[in-house]
Amino acid sequence: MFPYLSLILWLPALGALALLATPREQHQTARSIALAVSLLTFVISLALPLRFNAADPSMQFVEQVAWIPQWGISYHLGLDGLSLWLVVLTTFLIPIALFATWNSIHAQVRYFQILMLLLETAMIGVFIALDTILFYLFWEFTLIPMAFMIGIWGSGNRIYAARKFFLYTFAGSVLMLMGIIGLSFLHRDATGAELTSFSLTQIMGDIRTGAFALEFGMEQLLFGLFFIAFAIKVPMWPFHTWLPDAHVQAPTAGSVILAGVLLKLGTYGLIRFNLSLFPNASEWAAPAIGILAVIGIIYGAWIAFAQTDMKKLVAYSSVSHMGFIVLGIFALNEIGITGAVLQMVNHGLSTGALFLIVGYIYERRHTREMSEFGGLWTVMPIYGGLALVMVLSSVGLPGLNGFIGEFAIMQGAFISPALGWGYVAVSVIGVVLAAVYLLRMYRETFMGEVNKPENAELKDLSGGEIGMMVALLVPIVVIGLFPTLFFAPMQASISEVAQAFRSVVAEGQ
Amino acid sequence: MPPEIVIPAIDVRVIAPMLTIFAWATVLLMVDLFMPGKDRKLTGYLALAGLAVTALVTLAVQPAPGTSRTSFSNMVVLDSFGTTLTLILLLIAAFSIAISINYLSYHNIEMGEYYPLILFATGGMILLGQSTNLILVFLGVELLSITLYVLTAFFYPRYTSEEAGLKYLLLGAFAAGFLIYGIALIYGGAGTLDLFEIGAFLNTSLAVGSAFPPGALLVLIGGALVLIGFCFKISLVPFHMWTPDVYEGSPTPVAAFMSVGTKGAAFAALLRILIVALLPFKIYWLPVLGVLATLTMLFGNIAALMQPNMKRMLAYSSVGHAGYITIGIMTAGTHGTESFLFYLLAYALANMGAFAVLITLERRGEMAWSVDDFAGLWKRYPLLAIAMATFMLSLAGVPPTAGFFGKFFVFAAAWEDGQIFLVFMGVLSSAIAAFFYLRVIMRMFMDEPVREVIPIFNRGLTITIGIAVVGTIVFGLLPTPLVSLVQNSVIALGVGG
Repeated sequence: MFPYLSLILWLPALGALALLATPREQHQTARSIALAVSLLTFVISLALPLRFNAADPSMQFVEQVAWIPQWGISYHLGLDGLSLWLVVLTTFLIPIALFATWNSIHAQVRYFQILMLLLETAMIGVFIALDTILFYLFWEFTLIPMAFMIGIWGSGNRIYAARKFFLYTFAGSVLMLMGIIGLSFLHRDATGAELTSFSLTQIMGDIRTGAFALEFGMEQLLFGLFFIAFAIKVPMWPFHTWLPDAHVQAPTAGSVILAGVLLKLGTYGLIRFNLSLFPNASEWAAPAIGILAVIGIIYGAWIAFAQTDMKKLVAYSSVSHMGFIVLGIFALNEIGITGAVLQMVNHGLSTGALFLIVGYIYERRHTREMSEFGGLWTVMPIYGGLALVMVLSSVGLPGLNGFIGEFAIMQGAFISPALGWGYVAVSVIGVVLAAVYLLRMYRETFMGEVNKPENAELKDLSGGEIGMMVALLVPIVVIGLFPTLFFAPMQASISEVAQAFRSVVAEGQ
Repeated sequence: MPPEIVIPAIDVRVIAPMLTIFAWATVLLMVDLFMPGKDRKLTGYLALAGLAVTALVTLAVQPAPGTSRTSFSNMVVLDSFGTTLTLILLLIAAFSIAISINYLSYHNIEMGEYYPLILFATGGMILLGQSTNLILVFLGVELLSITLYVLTAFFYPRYTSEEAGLKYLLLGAFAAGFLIYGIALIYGGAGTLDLFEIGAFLNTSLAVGSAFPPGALLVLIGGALVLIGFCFKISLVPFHMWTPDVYEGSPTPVAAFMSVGTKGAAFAALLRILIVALLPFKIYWLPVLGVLATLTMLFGNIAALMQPNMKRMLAYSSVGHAGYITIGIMTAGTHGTESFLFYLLAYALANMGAFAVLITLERRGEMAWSVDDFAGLWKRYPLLAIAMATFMLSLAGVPPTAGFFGKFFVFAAAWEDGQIFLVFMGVLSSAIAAFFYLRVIMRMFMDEPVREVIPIFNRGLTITIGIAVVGTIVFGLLPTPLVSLVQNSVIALGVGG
């Protein structure tokens, strides 16, 4: 079979290598090559949903080559309904982010593009790796390009932010490494195999068939090790403090990718590892994690409401929105998880768009304080209109993408025996608050009179900027109007996760 | 009739690597004496050639995996573990010489004896890795130490170098005292110095009766003293006090050589003693080493956090790494030995590379190795900055570098042995360690230069840095051949086994 996944995975990295050969001073060449490579990757990745068999819950496009056979570690890739849209989201957002650097990155342009392409390879790798060590490798490698992007091209307190970002995530991931090692040795001892296996599908399969059952205390420990790594990445309250720093200092393109894809690595990991590998511990921990998620929803919204800096506001809104996703995951049922996965894509699109919107105005005025603006609608009508749609998408207006995901999550949490109506009742406040802070931001910057002379002369969006917004708008509207198109391919895989979950938990009781 | 003297069968192949390197070093001393002129670079190149010849000899006598040869009344063993270790040590020595050749003349301390001394020290290390008799272990330790006393004080115009030499000498003598007293007690208890026989003695004496036989008790006390002696050499906390001062004072290539070579050899000898002779005492030494390893990892890495001086930072970081290696050797199973060798090579590549970068930035007549000198390096010397960043990431254990797989194998071996708490302390301290390695990277890539620094490049440095970078990344992406190599490197557990 044609190795689609390897091609999509390594194409950006090859592009990064090719960029090394371009002359250092020719910024335009570097930008064009990077954009072309990422667009090509996106086009190829479109083959994935087209050739994806929606009825098949197992891994598709599988590639497996021995890598360290002595340890049972292999180069093992595959895609299922859970990862399908996340891969496409990644390949879709990277060209947009690269295009956004056209006007905002002027120093060491070539290196920025190289890092962005390397980051793309690493992120895709996380979503399609089916070997735990391979997963870990890509997971860790996402840190380096992102930390450099924040640290070199960021603003103000960039070094502090880059360091905090790196160290928080690294501290979490080394715990995950311990979990990965433990899991494989326990699996080897339980199945009596001669070699350890780091294959996720193998271990998961043995858990589902009952060939590999973990002692509950050990399951709790491993669950905890993985959970901390992912919770930091999501980030869940109280591990979220790195996020506002990283977002505020990062360049716009970095923020788009950080919010759009990197945070999803955490929630993806929660489903792929915590839920699938440790069902009993997941059920045990779900109420507590639900509480953390709800705290995150309310806390993020509350703090976002208090912000005067637009980028900080959007950053804290991420904490709130990611809380919803975690709530959906730990509803532990099909509808909740489906909603969570869809909401991952939605959040990637709409928050990415919001960061771009803040970036546009920052490039023009070099400030993001809301009090510096007012009445922008009259000066920049196209900008105002597009911003309104994106804000509404993030708020969860019916007819746009955000509504479907949030609704499914709430429904899942409501019927979940682990959570229940109490969680939903409190998190609804978060939805209301989201409308309050986002619409307040919109009102203060776009409505009213133009009260600052500097703002009167601002240019409206350029063709390229409009193009990026429209590109983001298309999936936002399509998901809103035809959600089944997106639900259908993930259904089979997610219901298998949920069913396997129920059967393992039922067996244990 | 006079008593018949029985000469034991001698198999020269067993000591062929040592023989080669010692002979080469001795001849090189003579050659150097008659070499005209003040330029001593040729001696350095000849020493490199000697290392290459030794490596070829080692490959030629390498036993098949799983087999071994012993000779000289079973005092020396040639097993695949020993030969793999020898090859790693030769690589370390070659790096050390390559980065020394121009260093010595630049700092006006060029003397021909330097290179034979490195060869003698390397020979001592090889002996340590191959000896199965405590007297030979002691001989190896002393041979190594005495040459290093001279080498640490080699930067004689600097007072700190003399101070380093003296400090190392005093503490080395102290450690040797522990070692030899421990060996004496073991002999008193077991009646033999042979590692295999000590192991057999313990097995039989512990099997008989429930009481703890006095002979075994003596071996236990002696073993503890031997362990203390080794702890000085491998600088486990709290026996590490000398390390930062000695590394800072000695010539930088010597510090690099010590930080990986001495440690690797001492660890190898300790590993052999622990699993060949003292395995029946595992219940005693396991918790002790566990505590020491934990303290070492935590203290080494926390102390490195506070260091603005790069050389001291690398010294403390090497203390921290000794903790990880200790985890590898104490788990002592097959995966423990493998992980020790893999870790040693990964660590050697990254650490030699980092010291080589340090040398490019070292100014004549200056003693500051401030991390400030690295600030903004990226903008002026991007390749050097990328190389240093690779070494730092490898030392921190971030993929895709060899250092990551080193840590992975060590932790895996520890988990397999049931040491889950140690794995936890290991990952915790590597999170702490990431802090200061990352700081160097941040200074290089994200800060503006503090002062004008012009690195000095020469062939030896460039080649060393190049090989170290390529090795670190290639083994980080494709560790498979190396894993096969270390998996085939088995410690001989019995005579001729």
